[in-house]
Amino acid sequence: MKDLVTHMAQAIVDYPDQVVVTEEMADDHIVYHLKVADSDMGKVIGKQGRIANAMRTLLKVAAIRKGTRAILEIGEGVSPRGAPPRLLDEPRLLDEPRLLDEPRLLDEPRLLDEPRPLDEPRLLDEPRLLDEPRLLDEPRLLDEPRLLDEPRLLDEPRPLDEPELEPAPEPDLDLESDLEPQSEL
Amino acid sequence: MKELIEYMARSIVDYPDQVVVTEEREDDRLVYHLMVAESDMGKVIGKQGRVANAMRALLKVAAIRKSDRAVLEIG
Repeated sequence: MKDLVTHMAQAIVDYPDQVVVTEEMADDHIVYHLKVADSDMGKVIGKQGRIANAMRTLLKVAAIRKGTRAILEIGEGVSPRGAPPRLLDEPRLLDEPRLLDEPRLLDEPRLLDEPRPLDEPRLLDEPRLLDEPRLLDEPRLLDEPRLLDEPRLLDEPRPLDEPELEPAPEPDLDLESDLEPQSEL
Repeated sequence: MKELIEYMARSIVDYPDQVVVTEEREDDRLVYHLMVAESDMGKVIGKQGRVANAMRALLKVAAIRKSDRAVLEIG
């Protein structure tokens, strides 16, 4: 498998003679460490790690065939086997972190859509009285009703106008002639 | 590049001696045809073509290094 990694790397770099692969046994897997010329680092990693992952895929299948597991590490920056790296001092900030500029909004915030109620509000049940309303006590008057003052007339009542009498009809003289004179009998 | 494909394929199949790679120029590109044992087909293709695409990715970079273009066909 070491040869596979070497072969793959050498096929794609500009300086094949600078390809170095080291093999290291870990608990249940093998770690391959691939080192190439600095200028070839981009080539063995690839855009978004595509080439590195392609090599890992093939290495993985090769390892499975041999009933083991393999890991491919590329470049420097990996601690040598043994104790994990440790910090000499507790990391601390040299300066209090501060904002370079006052934070501000790039755009005026705005609503993407006009806000609207999700549903028309509605009553789940028709509202109803729990109990029939009733008077706690029989209504009663606090005091016997009475007149504040004796009622009186504002003005002396008087006829609005002198009643106008219809002139008496002139007695019909002809009526007398129809009367049958009885006194002459 | 033919040797690269052979090496990759032989590393992952059960029958390395049945790995055959042919090379063919087609216009401006090289077409590589990889043939393996019937039972090894799944291995060189992989789940959702993952292994085949891994080989193609490496082949592509190797071709670019030689200012060429290469295509890998399997089966």
